[in-house]
Amino acid sequence: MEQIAPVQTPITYNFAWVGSHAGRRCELFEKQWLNCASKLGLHKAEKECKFELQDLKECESMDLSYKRYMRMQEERQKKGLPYQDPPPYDTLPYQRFKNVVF
Amino acid sequence: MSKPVNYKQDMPPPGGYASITYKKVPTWSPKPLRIVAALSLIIPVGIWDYNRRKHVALKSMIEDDEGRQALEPLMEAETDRLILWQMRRNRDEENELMKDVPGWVTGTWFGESLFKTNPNFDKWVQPTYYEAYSHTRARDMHQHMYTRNKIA
Repeated sequence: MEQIAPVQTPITYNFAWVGSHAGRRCELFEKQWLNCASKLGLHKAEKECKFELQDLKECESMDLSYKRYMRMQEERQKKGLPYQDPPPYDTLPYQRFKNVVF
Repeated sequence: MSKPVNYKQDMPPPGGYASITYKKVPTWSPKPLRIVAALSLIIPVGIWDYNRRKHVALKSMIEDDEGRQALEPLMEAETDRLILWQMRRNRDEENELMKDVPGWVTGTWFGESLFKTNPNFDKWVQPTYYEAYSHTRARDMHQHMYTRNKIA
């Protein structure tokens, strides 16, 4: 998200990474939302860029995904099926501070 | 009246006990000039050796880093392959598992897509742990999570 800074200082943009999704999982949705909202302004964007913001929030919170996970685990336990073997350790990348060099 | 003596009395050894040493025992200590001479030899050698080892370590670190950089594309490609393999496995598993549930569409929440602007995942979105490990034990998922990301 873009920083909302009432006062501009020389180091304002040095800390733009704090709330940003750049280089992370939800980069795409943040980009889409900023592309849409930066042309319209926040008040218009509330109506026009509704889906983009919704997707960004979904990507941040992963509510539907978590619901799906719980539902599927529940179904598996109800049917008493065996669990899947876990994939290898290296399947998902190291996600925190992914764009930091070392 | 005294009793008759039935025991042997302990007495000093013949010739008497050894004398107690109460005089200062003569000791040896390094002379100040010799200390200075030894240190002036040891310290430069130590500094030289430290610097030599530092350079060796730095060269080794640079070599490791270059090796890692050379392998990075390969490792990333392998990771991507593993993710795709796992997502395909999950899809088949979900088709099989949620067969009987009415209204369920694979990859969605009862037909409602996760992302409205990207409903069919035409653009790649990195799956989370809950998505990639949907059908494994929660214990295994958490173990992988912590081992991979070195939390806790």
